[in-house]
Amino acid sequence: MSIVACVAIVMVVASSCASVGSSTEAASSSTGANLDQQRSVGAPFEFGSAAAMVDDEVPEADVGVDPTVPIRTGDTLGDLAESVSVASPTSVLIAGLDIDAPVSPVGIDADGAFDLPPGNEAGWYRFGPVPGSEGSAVLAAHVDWNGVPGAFFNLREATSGDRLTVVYEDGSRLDFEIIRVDQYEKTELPLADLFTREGPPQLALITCGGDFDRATRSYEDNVVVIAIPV
Amino acid sequence: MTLLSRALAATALVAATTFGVSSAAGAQDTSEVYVVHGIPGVDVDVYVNDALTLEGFAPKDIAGPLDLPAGNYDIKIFAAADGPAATAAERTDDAVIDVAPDVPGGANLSVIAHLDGEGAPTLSAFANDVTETAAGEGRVTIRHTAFAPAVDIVAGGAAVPPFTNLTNGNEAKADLPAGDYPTGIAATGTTEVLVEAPVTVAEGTNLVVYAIGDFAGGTLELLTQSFDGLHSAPAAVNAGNSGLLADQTSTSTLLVVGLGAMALLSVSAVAVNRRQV
Repeated sequence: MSIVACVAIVMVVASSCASVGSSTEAASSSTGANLDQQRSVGAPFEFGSAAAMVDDEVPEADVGVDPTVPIRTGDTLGDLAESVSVASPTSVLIAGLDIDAPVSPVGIDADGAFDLPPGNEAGWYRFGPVPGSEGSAVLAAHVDWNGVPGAFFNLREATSGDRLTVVYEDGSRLDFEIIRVDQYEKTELPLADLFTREGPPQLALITCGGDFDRATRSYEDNVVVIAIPV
Repeated sequence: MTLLSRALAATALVAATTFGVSSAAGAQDTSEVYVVHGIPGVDVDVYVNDALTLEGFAPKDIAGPLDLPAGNYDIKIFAAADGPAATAAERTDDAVIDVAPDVPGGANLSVIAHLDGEGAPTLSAFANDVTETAAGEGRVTIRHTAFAPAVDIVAGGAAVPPFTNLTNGNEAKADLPAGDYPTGIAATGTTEVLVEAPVTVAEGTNLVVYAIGDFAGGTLELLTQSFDGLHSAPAAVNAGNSGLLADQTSTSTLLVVGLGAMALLSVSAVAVNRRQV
C-alpha cells in the first residue's frame, strides 16, 4: 500500500461561541480568553517515490473538469475593499400610532440576543439589510422600559394598510406599507425568517407584548409588524 | 537561487494522498474545490486528469469552485508555457508538482500550491469551515503557507490564541465578534510585528488569510479568500421590562371594579333613599 494518507485533523468544536467582549477587546486581550479556539492541520502532500503516483485502490474520477471554472485574483489583506457604505436609518415614523423614534445601529448583546438601545430609541440590526434592501431589515424597540412607555409602546395597535416612513442618515426617506401584524410566543418567534438576508425587501418592526412575567421582568410574546416598500 | 529557478529545477514531485476530511462528510458525492496559487513569481499551467484545466494561472489567482465528484484526481502543475499542450502527456518539460489526491465527497476544500518549510513547491489541501457562525460574529482562518519560520499573530503586544506557533502547512481559526482587529505577525514567542496584518472580521463570513511567498526573500504576502453567508439570527428580541401593558390591563380592571362598586353604592343609596321616602 503506497498511499500516504495525510488526514487533516479538523477539530470540530461546537460552533457556539462563548460570549466575548467588544470587538476590539477580544483580539487585544492578553489572555485571549473566551475565544472559540479551534486549530487544525492542513493536509500537505508527502512526497514519495514515483510508484506512489499510482493509486490502484481508488478509481480515477472519469468526470472532466469544467473548463469554464471562474478564476480571479485574490485580494491581499491590505487591499481588501472597504465594506460598501450604506446610509443607515436614523428614525422611524408611524404617524397613525404617534411613533417617531430615533434609530441607532445595534448588534448582539452578551446573551446573543438583539441588543436593544435603551429608552425611547429603536435599534436597527446592523448586520442585516438596510430597510428597503434585499432581505428582511429589522427595527426593534421597547414596548416599555424602566417604567415608562418605550418607542414601540403603540406598535401593537398597528393594522395592515398603515403607512410608515424610515428616514436615513443621508436625509432620504422611504415609505412602507404594513402588510401583517402578528403576535408570537417568544419561543415561537420565526427568527430565521425575520432576520433573513435574502428575498424581496421587507421591514420587520419588533417589540414585546402579551402577558408580563413579573419574576423575570419580561413579556412572554413578541409583536411583529411586517411592512414592504410602497 | 530564485524561486522561479528553484521551482523549475525541482524534479517532478510525486505523491498520492487523501484530502483530509472525515468520511462522515461523504454522504454527498461531490466537493467544492478551490485552487489557489500561492507561489510568487511563476505562472503555471494546471492539468487535471491529463487535461489542461488552468492555463497561465498566475500567483494569487484563485480558481473555483470546481464541483468535483469524489474520486482520485491526477494533478500536474508545470511552469506556464506559450500555447501549452492540451494534455500533460504531451508536455516535454518536467512537472513542478505532480500529485494524485483522493477528493472526498461533501467537502469545501482549498488546494493551494505554495512553498514548504524548505522553500520547495508543494500542494496542500485545507477544509474550509463554512458552518454557521453565531449572530454578531465572523470567523478568521490563518494558514501558514509561506517559506517562513513559525509565527504568532499578535495584538497589543501579546500573542492571540489560538493563532500561535503556526508552522508551514498548518492553520488556526477562531470565531470572533465582527469588527476590526489591529493584528500583526511575529516570529513565534516574540511580539515584534514583522508584518502588519490588520483583520476586519465581517459578520457571517469566514475570512481565510494565506501567508504566501518567501519571508527572507521579501516576497511574503497575505492572500485572502472569503466565504460569506454563514450568519445566523439573534437568539431573541427582548423589548420590554416594565409590564406597563399588564399594568394598563389591571388599571382598567380596577377602574371597572371601581365603577361597578360606585354603581352598587349608588343603587344602594337609591334604595336607601326610597326606603326613606
